[in-house]
Amino acid sequence: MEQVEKRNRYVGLDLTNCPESEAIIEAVEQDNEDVKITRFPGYVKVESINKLVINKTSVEECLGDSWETEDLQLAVTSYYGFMADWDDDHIVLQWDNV
Amino acid sequence: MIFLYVYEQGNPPALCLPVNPEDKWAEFKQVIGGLYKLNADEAKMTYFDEPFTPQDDRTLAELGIKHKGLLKIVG
Amino acid sequence: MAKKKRGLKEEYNLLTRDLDWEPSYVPFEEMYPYVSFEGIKIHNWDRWEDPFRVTVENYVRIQAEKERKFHAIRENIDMMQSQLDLTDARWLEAMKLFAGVAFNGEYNAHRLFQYVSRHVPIPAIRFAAFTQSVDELRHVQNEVLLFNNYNKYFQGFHSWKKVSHRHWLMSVIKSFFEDAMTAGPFEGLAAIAFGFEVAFTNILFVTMGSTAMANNDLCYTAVGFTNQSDESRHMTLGMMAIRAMLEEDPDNAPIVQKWLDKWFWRSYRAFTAIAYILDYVAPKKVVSWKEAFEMYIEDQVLNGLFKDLEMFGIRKPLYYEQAIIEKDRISHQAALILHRVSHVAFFHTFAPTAEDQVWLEEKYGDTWRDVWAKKWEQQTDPNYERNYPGLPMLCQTCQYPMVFAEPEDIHKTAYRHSEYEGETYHFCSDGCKTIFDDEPDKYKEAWIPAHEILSGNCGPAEDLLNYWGIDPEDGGDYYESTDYKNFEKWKKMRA
Repeated sequence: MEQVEKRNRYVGLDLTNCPESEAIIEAVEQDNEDVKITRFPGYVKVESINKLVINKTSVEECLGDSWETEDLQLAVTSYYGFMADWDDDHIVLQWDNV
Repeated sequence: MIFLYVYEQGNPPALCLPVNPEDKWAEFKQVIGGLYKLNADEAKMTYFDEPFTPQDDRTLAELGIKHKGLLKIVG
Repeated sequence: MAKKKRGLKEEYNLLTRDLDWEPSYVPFEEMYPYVSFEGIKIHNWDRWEDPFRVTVENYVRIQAEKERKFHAIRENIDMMQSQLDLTDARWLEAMKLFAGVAFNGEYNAHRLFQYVSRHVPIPAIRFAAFTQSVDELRHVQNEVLLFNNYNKYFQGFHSWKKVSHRHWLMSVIKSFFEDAMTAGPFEGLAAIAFGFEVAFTNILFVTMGSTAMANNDLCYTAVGFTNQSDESRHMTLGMMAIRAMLEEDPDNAPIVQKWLDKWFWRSYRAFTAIAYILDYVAPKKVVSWKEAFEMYIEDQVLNGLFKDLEMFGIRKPLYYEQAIIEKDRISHQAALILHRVSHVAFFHTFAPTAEDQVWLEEKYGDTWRDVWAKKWEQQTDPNYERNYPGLPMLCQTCQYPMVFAEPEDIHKTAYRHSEYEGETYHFCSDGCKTIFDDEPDKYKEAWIPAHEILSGNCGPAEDLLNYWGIDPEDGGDYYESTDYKNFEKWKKMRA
């Protein structure tokens, strides 16, 4: 199934529609290259090739309010890629075999 | 009683029928004729994928039909 | 001076992972009696961490917030008579299926994760499995409570418990979970946390949740999104478990590979019902099964995840090529047979309307025109006997009616069989046959509804609907149903 393997390998998040999600998307767009956003009824898919970083300070700037990285759990409905790091300042989602 | 699966090509799924292996083909062919609205004497059949040529006076057991066998009406 | 707040990682290590202890007055093997029989070798139980860093404190805080949001919506739903906002009551035929499948499925998942949490001695996994078991209980309770609202107005919701345990079609999902629950703790974990959660639940809660929203079903949207918000933690558990097994010892790879093969196929087959919902039941359709499969399975799982697992000697799951070939088929195969068995179902079925057909042609192109449109034409001919005249042959492994086609010939129904201890067992596919052949002593015991009914184990034939928990009105054609007529009437009254 060459067809499948020829496609780009994205990592990404499915975020439920809410103000925090919009701030996360804005922050992701700001801090990552080649970000792809696809909107569906009720949720948004935000993706980036091989790696995606969410920085706490960027989300807070976009949200105009304080935001803890663990609050991602309230917005994320699904994701793909490995959670390579998740601490107080940032979250890193990536594929290792690139 | 044994179970016999009867499949008509292009019309899945097969039916799971309880049958008496001592019944004669002459009786059983009426059943499938009714279920599939066909003349069983003219239908081409296989048992699993082997050719199957029934005879009216022989029982299902004598024709080689076993529990959970698969009879296919292929034409 | 105030003490510096502990960071997430430190907090997690102190309050979750490091709370585990070494047994001192019983041997390790006695405390964890199922740890070795599956052959999984773990050398360092402690080094694994949950990337979500869940502690009791943040778990309770976040879950309470989710519950607060969910119940605010739920009360609103009751008050606003929101069922009248639905695009069409036909959508609820999907919700009836969901109730039959998921309520008991979630409860069984709760039980399975209790078992995993008790028997897998990796502290990070034990705690994540424990929170998941609590999540699953939350899901089923919320679902039952919320769907109570639909039960006030519509048919088919009244006996979900009986239906999910006894209905002939529901044995598909009942046997699926019971298969996982009767496996060893590592396989159970790989089965549900990985095979089911990482790969397929996205389509159930995200895609179907989105479709529910497009059809103004606030109930399922609320349930779908609150459930799925737990699912990302569940997916992390699945990925952590797989990586822990693979990284701890190279001897684990062939064992894990076999589980990935088996549970990919088991989960994929179980999801045939969801393909039917997305492509047929939804009055307003958002994403087709084919598109959802490409997005979540091909891109994210096969091309994403499995490429990473190659580093540990894992290949893509067996027969994944067949699942790809079947993406043009399974929703139609399911719809065609369900159309014929509505007289013995707890939900109504229907033939696709002209509007549905336009969408199906757009999504399925040539296969729609060459194969499925023709089948529907034949099946809706006035001379065609719609009600299936008996009990369908079921696959010994997945228990679906045998409707799937040969991978290389869409017109030829696939049949596989195995002989074991002098008895014949039938399968719908290579995937299901391989699973049986690997553990025949387990699957020969499967409770196959068609056989049990004919053997008299479900009561007298004339009382079968009662045995299943069905009223005659629950089934039949949607466009002739009381549900349809009531919905039209209520909408007019409201307007």
